[in-house]
Amino acid sequence: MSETAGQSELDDLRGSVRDFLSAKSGEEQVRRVMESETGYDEAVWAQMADQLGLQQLVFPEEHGGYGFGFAELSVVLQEMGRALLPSPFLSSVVLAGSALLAADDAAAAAAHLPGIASGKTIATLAVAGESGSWDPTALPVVGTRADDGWRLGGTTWFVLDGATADLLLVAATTDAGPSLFAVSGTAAGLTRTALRTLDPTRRQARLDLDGVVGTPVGALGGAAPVLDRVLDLAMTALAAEQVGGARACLETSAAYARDRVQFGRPIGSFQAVKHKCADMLVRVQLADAAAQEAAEAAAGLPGRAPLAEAAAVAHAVCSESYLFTAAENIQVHGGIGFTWEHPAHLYFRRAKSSQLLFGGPAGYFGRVLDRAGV
Amino acid sequence: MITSPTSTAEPTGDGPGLDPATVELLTGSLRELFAESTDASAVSAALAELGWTEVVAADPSSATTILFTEQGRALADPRILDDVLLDLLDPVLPASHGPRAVLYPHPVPAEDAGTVRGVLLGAVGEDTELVAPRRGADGATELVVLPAAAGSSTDLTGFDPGTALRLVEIPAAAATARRTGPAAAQAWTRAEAAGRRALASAIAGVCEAALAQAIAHVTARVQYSKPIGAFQAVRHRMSEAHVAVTATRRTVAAAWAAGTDATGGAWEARIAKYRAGRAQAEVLRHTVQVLGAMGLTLESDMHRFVTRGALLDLLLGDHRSLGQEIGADLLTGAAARPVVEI
Amino acid sequence: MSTDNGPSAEVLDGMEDFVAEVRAFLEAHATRLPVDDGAVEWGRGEDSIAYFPDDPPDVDERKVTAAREWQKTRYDNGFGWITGPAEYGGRALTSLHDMVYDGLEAEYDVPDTGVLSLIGLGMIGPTILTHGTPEIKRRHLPALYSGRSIACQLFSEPAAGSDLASLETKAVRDGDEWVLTGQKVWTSVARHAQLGMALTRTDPDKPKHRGITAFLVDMSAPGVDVRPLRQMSGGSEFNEVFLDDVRVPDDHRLGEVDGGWTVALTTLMNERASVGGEGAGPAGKAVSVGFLAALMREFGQADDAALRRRLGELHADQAATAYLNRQAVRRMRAGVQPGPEASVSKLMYGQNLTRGAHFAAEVLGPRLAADTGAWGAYSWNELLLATPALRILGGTEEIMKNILAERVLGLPKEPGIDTRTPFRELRRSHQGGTP
Repeated sequence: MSETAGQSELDDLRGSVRDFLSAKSGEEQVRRVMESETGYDEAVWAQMADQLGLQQLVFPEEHGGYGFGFAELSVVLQEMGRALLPSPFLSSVVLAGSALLAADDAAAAAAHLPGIASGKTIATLAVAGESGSWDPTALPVVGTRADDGWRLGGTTWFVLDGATADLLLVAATTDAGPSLFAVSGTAAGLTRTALRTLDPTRRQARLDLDGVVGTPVGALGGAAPVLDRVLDLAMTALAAEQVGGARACLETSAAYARDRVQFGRPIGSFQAVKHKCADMLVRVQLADAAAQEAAEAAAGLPGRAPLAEAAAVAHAVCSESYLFTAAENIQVHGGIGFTWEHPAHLYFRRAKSSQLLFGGPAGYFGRVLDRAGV
Repeated sequence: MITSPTSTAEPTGDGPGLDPATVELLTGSLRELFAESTDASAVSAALAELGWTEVVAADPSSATTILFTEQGRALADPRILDDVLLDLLDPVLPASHGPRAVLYPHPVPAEDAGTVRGVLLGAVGEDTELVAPRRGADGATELVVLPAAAGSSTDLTGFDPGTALRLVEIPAAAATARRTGPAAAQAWTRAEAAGRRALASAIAGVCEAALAQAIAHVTARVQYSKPIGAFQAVRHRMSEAHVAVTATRRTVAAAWAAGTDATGGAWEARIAKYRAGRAQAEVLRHTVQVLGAMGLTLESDMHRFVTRGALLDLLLGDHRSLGQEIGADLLTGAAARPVVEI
Repeated sequence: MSTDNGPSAEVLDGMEDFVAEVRAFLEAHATRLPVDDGAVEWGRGEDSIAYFPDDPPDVDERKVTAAREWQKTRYDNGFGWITGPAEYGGRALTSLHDMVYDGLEAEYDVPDTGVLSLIGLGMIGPTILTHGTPEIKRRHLPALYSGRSIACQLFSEPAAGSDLASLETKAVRDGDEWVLTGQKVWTSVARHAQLGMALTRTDPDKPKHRGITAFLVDMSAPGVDVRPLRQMSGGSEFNEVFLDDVRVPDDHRLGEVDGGWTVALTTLMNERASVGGEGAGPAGKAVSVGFLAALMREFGQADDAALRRRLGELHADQAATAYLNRQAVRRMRAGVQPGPEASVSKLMYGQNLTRGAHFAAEVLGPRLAADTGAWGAYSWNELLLATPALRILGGTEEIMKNILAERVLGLPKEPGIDTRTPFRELRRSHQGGTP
């Protein structure tokens, strides 16, 4: 059972996170951190846990969490998206965290969740092959039984924060069916290669496994429903992050349109600009509604669409909307929006990258139809 | 190869061609001609009087482009398209015993393989011979001549009341002549290409007329104390429409320039038809929108452009089907020759 | 997706007594419709996706009579004006009760009262309530809400569409009466209306918003001439109304002399917020994912990857719009002021229907342009040809976006929009006949 904060508490939460991120992860810091080796600021990450309890927010109390739910998590993710915070939050807390909870493996949860919740352990989930698809029947890594346990072999791609994670949860095909395994980031036989990415604020890696020791997490052969569940929650979380970014783009465009004067008047008085901003507003409202429905479904509120449906819709609508607003944001800013120094391209990169996570448009539109029973 | 137009048509023939002044003169005469009457036989007679055959001989590409552009602009009877195809089909067919008309392939073929289903651009007499392409047993295209009397024809319930289209179904066995082999197949390919170029020009004409009306409207109509054409949303729509029409004209011109190869420029003609089909959808959406509520009434002419554009798109390959075909061909390795050199 | 006919559980929560009352009334006076399980049976039902009705006059008349009768039944049983004051036959309840009633009534086979309610009861009734004299209210409100009287809106003119305030219909005072002359356009239901709310120019020397007066016109008065307008989608739901020296008593003026713009704003603001009701009707059902998927299967396109992807996109936007509407209802219940969601919802509604119709056109191809006799093919033209109207009528998309940008995002207004020059001096379209 999760606690739910009332609206004013949510507003307070939003306010504290926003203030924290403006101070610790403003544009200058983001640009510096995105060039760093790890891709995130370890001190800020620690403060997020110690001062604000962000990593702990949604984990059960028995594992060191605060027992809150998706309403709170959405607020936090929106603010992180708005600030373009480079951090392993999505991989560690959302992907790995929800995988451990969904796997229904008490030992694994006890072993790993406290570390993740405190921020001391960075974890992530490795599923996809080179196609990027999250299909449990086509996993690129194979798990084989050995005398002393399991060995994993194969190559998995696009692992978020894969090069820096302490704990890797790897999905592998076995003779029992698709299964999940816990692998140490420093395991023998594991080669981690950081990939060059379009979005410098989110790291991705390729993992080559050669006889790597893996500890089963959850029932052998039971990874498919776990991955399904993780995907639903990941899409919901990502949607919140995308809304935060899209709204930031809208606000920047509107502010620029009000201030920038050309031909003797603010450019926002020109209908073309006005309509562009209105179009952005419409998409942001729609995305916000979709993300909210999914978050409320995840939080178990009655009367909402089923999570599987709402999450797919949110992923599709928020991906499209974020990309649209990020592109239009550059357009409204004209030439200056096209420069490296202006933040618009950073949002565009994050928007484009986010759109392509978890299998991209082919994935999300397919899931929307699938969950609508078509 | 593409000359920038100083007049309404773009001379691209290989021969000496018509000079711009002549083109302008001819365009004016045609405009008057169509203003007099849009009825097919009246138009044919008037064209004969104008000495149109000589004009075509002098510069087929300019002549055909101008003729069909004006025909489209005037929303005139589309039947004159038959002459373009028959010109290329007659040489491989036996001498005709009466008037001939083209039976255009219906986009939805008959379920029964022994029946030819097609569209006539107008009503025909019992003694008319209908010329139609057919898929032969070997998959190649063949030509058949069918007596109109052997078929059942119905008024085609389309939404363009300005035409007299007929849906015809005739048993293939009733054919009085059949031509197979490479010569026949190639004749149809060339005829279809010529037809597509003409239709693309007609569509351009429809779009230009609609756009002219839209521009006149937004210049005259005042709201909030200024012409609505002063509002950017309106201006941008008009610009986008203009670009679509200009692009169509360019692709038609390029299609003519390529027309001398063995297929009669089939690849380029298909692209021109595709481009024109897409353009009419885009342009007419813009013109309807800027006309506001008035454009939605039957009193306004705009609906006539909408329906005619859709109909012309449908003949000899609508833009959606052609898009699929072009895409499929490209994926199987067809050389993507640039149609327009930038 | 939840496709139940009735209102959702959370809307009904706390309203059990009212619900019981409504059900009892409906059970006693109407028959229940078979439950719509959302399944699509291809070929079943009428082959029609009309957005605007295109009925012959006698059918139209019968429908209006049936609507009036049903409205009277509702009124006599206390459901004619759920939110209205009791002294005029209302129940003095909330708009939430209204929604609950509508949701329950949708489960029954009753005449569609849109011809009375969309304009007359939804917009003009509340305007009369706010701005009418006690005598006017007593005379007209019970008549309206009991179905005896139908009201129409005489607002737009040929030269005053988006720019309504530049209207030119004159009203000149003559003793106890006013004499109205002018031409109104885009008037729905004028053919059946007894009452028309007219906006007129009473002082051309004041700036355009300040010289307007509102009147209630007796549609059977001498000088009132109603002529139907034919739409490109077929049908003639809309009319022109010519006012030729029509005499209106001063006691039928609504609001102050030259204070008519305020009255007009009341009318326009009362347009019922579309919260979830928009998905209904044959058009909404036709563009739903289930129906479009059935369309694809029927015409052999079920496996087309590109079409499937577009269908997914369509459905995602429709679903998100539905979520937006439900969230607006929740906010309303919680007493939160509505934000820009209503305009966003409206814009999305038009967009979703338009894109759905174009999607169907893509699947059908030539079967759309020429009738092959197949069920559920050529009939799409009814919707396709109506879609441009969705982006124009009731406020063009362009104007709605202007409003969103200016009011929500704070962008500056178009320069040169003049609100201080006397109307007489403003530039206007050439309008033959009317000075």
